[in-house]
Amino acid sequence: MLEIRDIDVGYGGLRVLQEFSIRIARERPAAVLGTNGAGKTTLCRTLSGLLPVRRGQILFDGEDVTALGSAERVRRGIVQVPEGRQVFPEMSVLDNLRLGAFVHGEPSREEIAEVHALFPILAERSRQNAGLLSGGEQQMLALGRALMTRPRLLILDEPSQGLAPKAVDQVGEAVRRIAARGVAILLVEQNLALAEMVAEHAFILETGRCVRDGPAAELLSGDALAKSYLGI
Amino acid sequence: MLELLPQQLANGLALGSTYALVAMGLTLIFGVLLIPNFAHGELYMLGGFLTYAGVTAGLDFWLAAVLATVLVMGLGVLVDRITFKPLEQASGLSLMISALAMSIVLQQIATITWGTEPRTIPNPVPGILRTPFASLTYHKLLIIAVMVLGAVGLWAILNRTRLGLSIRAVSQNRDAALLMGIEMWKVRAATFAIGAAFGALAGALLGAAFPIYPTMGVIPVLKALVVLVLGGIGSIPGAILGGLLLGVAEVLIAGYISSELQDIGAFVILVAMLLVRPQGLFGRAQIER
Ligand SMILES: Nc1ncnc2c1ncn2[C@@H]1O[C@H](COP(=O)(O)OP(=O)(O)OP(=O)(O)O)[C@@H](O)[C@H]1O
Ligand SMILES: [Mg+2]
Repeated sequence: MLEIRDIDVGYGGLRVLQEFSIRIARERPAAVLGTNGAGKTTLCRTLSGLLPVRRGQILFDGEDVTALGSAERVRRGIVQVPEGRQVFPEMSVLDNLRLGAFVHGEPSREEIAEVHALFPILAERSRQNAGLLSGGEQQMLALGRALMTRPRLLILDEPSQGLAPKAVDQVGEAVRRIAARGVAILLVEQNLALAEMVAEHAFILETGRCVRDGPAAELLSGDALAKSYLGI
Repeated sequence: MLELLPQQLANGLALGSTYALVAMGLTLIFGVLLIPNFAHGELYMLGGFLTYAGVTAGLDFWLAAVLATVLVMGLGVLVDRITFKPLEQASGLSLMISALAMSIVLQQIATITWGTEPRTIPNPVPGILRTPFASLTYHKLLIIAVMVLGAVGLWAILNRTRLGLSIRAVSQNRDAALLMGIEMWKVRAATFAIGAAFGALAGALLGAAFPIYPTMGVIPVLKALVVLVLGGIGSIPGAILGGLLLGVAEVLIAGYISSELQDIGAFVILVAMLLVRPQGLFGRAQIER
């Protein structure tokens, strides 16, 4: 599904991702775990084409997408829920969903109804400006918006950030349902609870390198080693 | 004195409409792309000159004005490509310096092509509308009408089209817009074309009553900057209201205090606004991007 081969990414003189490689299968939702500054957001932005790689390759469904622009990647189904949700604050919830479907044209009633069924709060607040939603509601909107894009791979950058445990559970539940529809999941997190809920495979990212990976159940539950890597 | 007030208000609204027209283009480009396009004044100037060129070539004024506007829209896109696109990662200061350089280049091109001597176009709408309260030339009425139509048109593009949806998305959150698959080059081109259209229209219309010369865009852009601060930078309603406010204030100052103070008045209002409400009439309290 997604294969990242030895990529180097950085800012100016700073190398952030170094010879970073992972492989993700559609049937096995994956989590990349790392502490602050490990390079999680850098990885997500690189996958969406917002940052160039200096070396290495990104393969999506066997095709090299390394040189493709962000819009083309979105069209191919590489969709991201960015760090901090990044909803369009001065647009209605509905317009945010319309923007999610932007590359496919105007969304049909059915498509919107489908997202509303998954996140009823978005139906209730349809006309309200997205900036007025609570953090948890904004996260639901960001997820709903991403669904409108018809993802084949959904990248989630710390969706639990700033959310109460109950809201984290809701997000986890939603991601599981999305995965059950056949969407590949790459969850980038610091929060083990969400990763445990969602992921079957986990990678540990430390200062720009993938230092360990394995089945999530082994790597995350009670494993002192993983916890020491994450410093928690 | 007071019986002159309606007349002065009318004159002020006409003057303010020209400020609003110029300011709308400037504020659109800044609000969406965070680009300070000081070369906007030169697009205004070229709107005037190209209309002049069309009219001297025997075209009807309206046709010449429309052609000039279309040409300047294309030029606006080109200005972005040459002046700002290569500086995508650079600071705001670099953008400003680049914009000033482009202003000078365009002024020089106009000077080489048409010389520095002011040119004039015959007024396409001679005559005066007289009412019991005030009299306005048809030319001023035309400017007010075009400003209103332009504002309505811009509102419709931004709020009723998919292009407008993508422009608004970029102005609110550029990275998120990219993640929606919005193509930045399209939004840039459209924003510059629309912004340039406002400058060119203003130049074509003003050129029908005032002289056209290579540096005619300098003062309007300075005034437009005052308007932007008055109305709130990046706000379209702010550009309209700020423009009208500035026009009326200038005419009242000239009428009731002294015509020599007219231009100083604009800057007094500017300073007062910065003290009382630094974000402008329609500005958001603060946005850090
Ligand atoms: N635009 C940038 N310019 C320069 N350095 C940057 C930039 N963005 C991130 N960095 C640096 O790259 C490193 C990785 O940052 P990144 O945002 O990818 O980390 P992260 O794992 O997402 O952290 P967090 O958990 O805090 O979100 C950090 O050292 C950071 O300072
Ligand atoms: Mg991050």
